[in-house]
Amino acid sequence: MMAWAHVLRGRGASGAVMVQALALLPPLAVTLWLGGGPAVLVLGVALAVVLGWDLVFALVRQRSFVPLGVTTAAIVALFVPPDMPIWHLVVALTLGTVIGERVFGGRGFGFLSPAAVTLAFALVSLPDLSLVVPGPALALACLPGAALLLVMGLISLPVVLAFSAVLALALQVTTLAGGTAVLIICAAPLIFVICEPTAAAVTNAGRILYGALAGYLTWVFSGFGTQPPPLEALVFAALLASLFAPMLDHLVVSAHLWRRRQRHG
Amino acid sequence: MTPFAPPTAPIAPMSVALLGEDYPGLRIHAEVAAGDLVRPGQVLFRDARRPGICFVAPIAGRVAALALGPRRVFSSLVIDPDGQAPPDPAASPDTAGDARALLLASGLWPAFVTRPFGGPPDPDAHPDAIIVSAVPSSVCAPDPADVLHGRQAEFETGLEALTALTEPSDALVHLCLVTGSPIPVPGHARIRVHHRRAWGGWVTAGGQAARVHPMRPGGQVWTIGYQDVIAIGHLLGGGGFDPLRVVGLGAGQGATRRVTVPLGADLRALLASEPAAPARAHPRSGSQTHGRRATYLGRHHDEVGFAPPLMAQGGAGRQAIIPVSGLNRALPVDLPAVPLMRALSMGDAVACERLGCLDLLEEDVAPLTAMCTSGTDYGRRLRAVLDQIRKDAA
Repeated sequence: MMAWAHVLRGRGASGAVMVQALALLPPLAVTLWLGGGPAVLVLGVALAVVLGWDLVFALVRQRSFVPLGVTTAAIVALFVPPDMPIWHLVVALTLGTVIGERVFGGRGFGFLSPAAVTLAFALVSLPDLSLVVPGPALALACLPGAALLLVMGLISLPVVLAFSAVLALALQVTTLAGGTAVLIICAAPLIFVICEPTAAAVTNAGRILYGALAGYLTWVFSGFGTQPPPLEALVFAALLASLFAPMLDHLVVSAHLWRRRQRHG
Repeated sequence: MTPFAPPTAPIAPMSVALLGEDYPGLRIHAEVAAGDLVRPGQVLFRDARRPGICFVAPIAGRVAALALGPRRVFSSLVIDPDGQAPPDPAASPDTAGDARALLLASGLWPAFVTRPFGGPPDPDAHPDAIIVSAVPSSVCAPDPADVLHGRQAEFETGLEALTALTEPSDALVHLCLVTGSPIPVPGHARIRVHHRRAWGGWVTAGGQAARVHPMRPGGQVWTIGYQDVIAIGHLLGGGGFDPLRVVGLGAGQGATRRVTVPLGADLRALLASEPAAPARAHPRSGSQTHGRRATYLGRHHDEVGFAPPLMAQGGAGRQAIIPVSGLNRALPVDLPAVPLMRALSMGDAVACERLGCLDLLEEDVAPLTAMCTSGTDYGRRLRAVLDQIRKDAA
């Protein structure tokens, strides 16, 4: 696994974003296939907005232009309905990419997933908005990308396992069919939003806690039920969990330092 | 495991160098100048701050260059082999005296690496523990059992000398071995033997130190390689200064051979004859994960090869740190890697010390440099932070 991580060495966030964009291609193709013309328009507008902001910040901060926003646009295009008014999309993406990422200095310097911020902002501001519920085709198309991200170290297995375990327990999943239904809905948000490495916790124990917290919050936001969670619950859970991720890391590091002090007397 | 074969005879005379990278921050009083003839074991220079520590010539030859770096820190001293006879025969040191005085006088003292901060220990310091590493740093490194074959008596003499260095305290000498290693275990009350699988941090001196004797605040631990322990035994047995070391030559494609070379041997000459040399490859001293690009063999390294193209030196490190999942396994010591990387890249000495950077030296953080998306040279950052901590403590 280390041999592959070396590929990203010294490339900043752009190497990671390139791999993530590659992983997003199959689910994006499925979305465009199912959504047709309007879905293509949504993706085009989303790309134009995020790349525009990337360009503006590159010019203002006098850095080179790196199109780091493409993954944000792609993730948002997976979940917003194709009939969403264009100006809603523009405003939501602007806030998501500027507030969620750009004000901190770009990808890797912030602590939120800009896609989660965009979707959460859209859901809060637009009560009529209902996100596209992922189907089995989309979930299947996420798998090759998930494998790629896992090999490159851009997905943390502890996050995935802790999230799945806690959510399965909370929803009282007992049958294979029930588990599959939950997985189909959770696959894309889990892989591309919750597992976003810059938004997740960074210590080993912190990652387990982060995944567990995201799973638990998903259950809380879906109304403590036993049905597969709505996508909205996953989005808010991802956002709230990544807000807590630095605190989880801080607790884990403090516990580690306390153990060290105990050992040394 | 490489099948046993006796080490090959010393190959053709080659240049050697003493390198500042092995003794970070060293300032010297030179006792030779460029152009001087030197004999093996002759004192080349002394530590300016601790004149008891001397550094000696591994081979007979002529001093080709003595280079100082920024702020007059020792950078390198190159000796070219010379056909002429050495100036005068080596006066064999008196082996009857104190082991500490003998090691200091003979130039074997710099074989020790102190933790924290690195470099040779103070001449009058007493360690909390001495850790002898007899674990091959990778599959390319020579098997310690093969190297020790026929030199077991010298090894045991050397180990006993190490126990003398810890007196009058009750500090232990820890011998680190691989599980199933056929190396006979000396029965000495002050020598403790540890067997573990050659896995994770156990192959590096930093990992061994953290596992067998975690550092106490204010304490210090010395590490030394098994070949240097043999050299100490050789010295105490009246054989004089032994500058030869067995190194593994892994030029890729899995082919490894072992050669006996003097300390600080010229890697370009050593690797020039390698048929599998990749185009425009730069030599590497040390293991694939913990080594460095180098032109001469590092003082504490026992394997050489070619540097992967990405093993570059330095880096601006202005880019983002993407916390990829392999980083937490990259350190030989159980430390929170990403918080430490953030603290190191900011040069936050207080946070680094709190997170435990005193357990680490440059070689330990080499895997972070090799994986990090920011392109930061963590070895250099760690050295800057360690220097800062040492300055603040003084």
